[in-house]
Amino acid sequence: MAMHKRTKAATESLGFLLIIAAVLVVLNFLGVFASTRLDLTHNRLFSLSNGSRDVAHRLHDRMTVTAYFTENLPPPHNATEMYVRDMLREYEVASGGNIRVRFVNPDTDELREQATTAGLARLPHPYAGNDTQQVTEGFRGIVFEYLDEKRVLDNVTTEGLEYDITQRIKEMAGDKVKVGILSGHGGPTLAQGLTKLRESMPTYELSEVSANQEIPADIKALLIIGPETEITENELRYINQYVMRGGSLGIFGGAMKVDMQEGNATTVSTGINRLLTAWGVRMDPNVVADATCKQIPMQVAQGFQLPVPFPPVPIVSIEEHMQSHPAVFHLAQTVLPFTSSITRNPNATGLTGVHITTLAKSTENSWQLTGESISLRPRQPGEWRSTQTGGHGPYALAVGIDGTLPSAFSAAAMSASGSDAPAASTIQAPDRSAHPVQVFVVGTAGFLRDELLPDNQRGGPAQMRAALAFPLNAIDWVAQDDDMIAVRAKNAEDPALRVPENVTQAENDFRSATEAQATAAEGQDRAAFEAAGQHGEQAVTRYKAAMEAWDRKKAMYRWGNMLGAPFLIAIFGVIRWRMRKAKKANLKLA
Amino acid sequence: MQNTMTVARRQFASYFNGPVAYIVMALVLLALGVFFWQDFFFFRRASVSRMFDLFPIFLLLAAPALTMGLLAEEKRNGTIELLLTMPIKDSEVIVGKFLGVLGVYAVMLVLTLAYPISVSTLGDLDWGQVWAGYFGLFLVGGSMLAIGIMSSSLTDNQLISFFVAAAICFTLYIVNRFLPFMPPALATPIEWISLSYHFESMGRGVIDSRDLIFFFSLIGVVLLIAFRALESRRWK
Repeated sequence: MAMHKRTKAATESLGFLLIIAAVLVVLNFLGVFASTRLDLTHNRLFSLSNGSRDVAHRLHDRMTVTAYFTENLPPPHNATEMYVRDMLREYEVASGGNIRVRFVNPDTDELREQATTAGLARLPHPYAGNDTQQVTEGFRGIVFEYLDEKRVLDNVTTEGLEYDITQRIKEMAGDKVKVGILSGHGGPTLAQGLTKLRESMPTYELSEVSANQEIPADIKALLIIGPETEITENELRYINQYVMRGGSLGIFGGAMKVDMQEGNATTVSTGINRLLTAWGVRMDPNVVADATCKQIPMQVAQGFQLPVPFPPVPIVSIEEHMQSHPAVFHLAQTVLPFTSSITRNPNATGLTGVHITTLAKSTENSWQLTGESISLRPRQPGEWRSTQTGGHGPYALAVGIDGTLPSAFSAAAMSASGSDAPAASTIQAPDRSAHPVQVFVVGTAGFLRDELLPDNQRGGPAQMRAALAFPLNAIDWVAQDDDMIAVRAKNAEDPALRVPENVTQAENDFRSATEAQATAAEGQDRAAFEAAGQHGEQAVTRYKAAMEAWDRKKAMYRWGNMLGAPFLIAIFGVIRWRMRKAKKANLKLA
Repeated sequence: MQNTMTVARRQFASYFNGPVAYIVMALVLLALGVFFWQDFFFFRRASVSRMFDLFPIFLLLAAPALTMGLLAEEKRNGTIELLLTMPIKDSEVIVGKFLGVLGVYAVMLVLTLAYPISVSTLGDLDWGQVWAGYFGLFLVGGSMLAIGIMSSSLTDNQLISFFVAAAICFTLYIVNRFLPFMPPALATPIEWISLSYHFESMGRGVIDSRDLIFFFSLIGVVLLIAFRALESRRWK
């Protein structure tokens, strides 16, 4: 009887365990189809951004999204499908039912044919099997269909997926925003020099616009990109009129003409400052050089190429408090090649209610390269020091101006700028802009030019997105089309450590000194060698001092953290052990 | 519930009366410190994501070491019989002991907070990501400790308990690293049972309900097995 009871109890217990286990397995299975995510990252890096939600929400008709994913692809692509499912489901919810997502496993000839006809390729996926490298073919693509239009996203990976999806939906469903580019003043054009920018802006309708006549009001923003010849007074008046009527403006360079073939920059008088001074800023005729800069390869003796710092291409860190501005939203840094500085105009009047925000500035270790013609040839770091005359940074390199701007050709503005009263003109404009407008000003057009952007084939779309994040955000801001701004910010890397500036400077100095010594030795120039040696010794001393201080700080962090917690535990353990021992010794029988 | 908490409190306190907890915690934190900080400045990034990669690896040994004696030793000494004669349910014993060792693990996690605090003074650390990572570590650790208790409930030999738990944790943690060598049809289900696969997104800063369901299910199932193993003494 007892035996029977024990068997019954064991069976019941085992049965209970199996039932619970089965319930949990089913719960896990159902969890795949009904899940929710909480993204705690600072920029909500792994959630659909508001821009993407808005794009999906604005759809006014049914969009069919068909994802073709071959089942059981080898890792890491087996996890991609799950990621895509999650993301597309968020779009589906945000669209309020207008996006319908269908997942297809193309495992029959008919379905494979369907995927191929839709424009997807059968991709090879290598994996290791049976001691040999094997390849399985499969589909990893998404087809978007909306009204009569179709777009394809092939070779899907998790990297930059939201950007790609949102851009395609926007391309198909959104009305294209018209943006004009001022023509007739040299500089890059849509056909030559701005082709990569044009390809990166499929949601915009870009066209070249002349300012010799009234600028059409349906153009949401006018871009002035690297003008090299004078903009006439009539053209400036038409641009001013366009802004006063509510149009926004993006100004990319206009104080210097950079010839990358010849390696020099010359001042140009485009007249752009006639507009800018009235709005509170001016673009200076200089090129800002910065110790925090990109490196470029330089030919040295024996045909070698060595990377050397190139101060005319500063790496600009965007301060955290600036990162809430749409033009630099969550961007940690950007590169501004051959940029002029922007200064405030203290004499400007009528700027009540106008906000001028410095968006990017150089470091304290920056200086101005000035003159009619500035040589931009690569050189040894020490040689750049001789160009450091006059003051030093930081300099504002990009500003955003917004509000109801005063006319640059009103009597008040002319008098504030010291000009004569405005001559009678047939080009009429209100004294103030009708609505708040946006004006973006940066001292360079270099970061938009094909020759300075990464190669799409070699760098891939991720590098291109990163390089264009700042200018595209700025264009979105002036065109008031901010859907993609937050999505672009998601390509940001982990934040960098704050390395003390004297360490960066010391590193550059040390490199410069050793290279100068090597060059002098090769040229058998005794005087130069000795001078470089002397300079080198000083640089080494500075370098050593800066590095020692930094190393001490690093060692303190390293050893403190390595040994601190174990030491605390050991001390606590010993104290507790001694206390217990003492307590035991004092125990007395009652 | 009161009984459970009493067992948990006593278990938590007993860890600090003997040397095991001190040794395990000190060794884990020392190893973590060495591996995390030795090349931290080389990468020049204000991030502790590497700590979230390293910590579970040390836990593969630490969790079994902390739990190996929980039931095995009591069974060997016969004190478990004494415990089970008290007016307390088997399930309360198991859950109480689990909560006790989880408390010790939580203390160890709190001590590692010195790392993100230090890093935050050197750069703009993403604290949201850090908290999600810690929550993930808590669940991964909880799972490994539950496996350790299960292993301890199946034997009265501490060493066997340690090796069985370490083997199970190691397999569950590392199994997704071998996916490229597995037939593609098995990849997804195998990946699903991997601890590191479910911890990955938490280490990045995202808490996903599927991962929570997985961890809670795993902890629930292994504690149930431990409960059953304990209970089986009644009918053996």
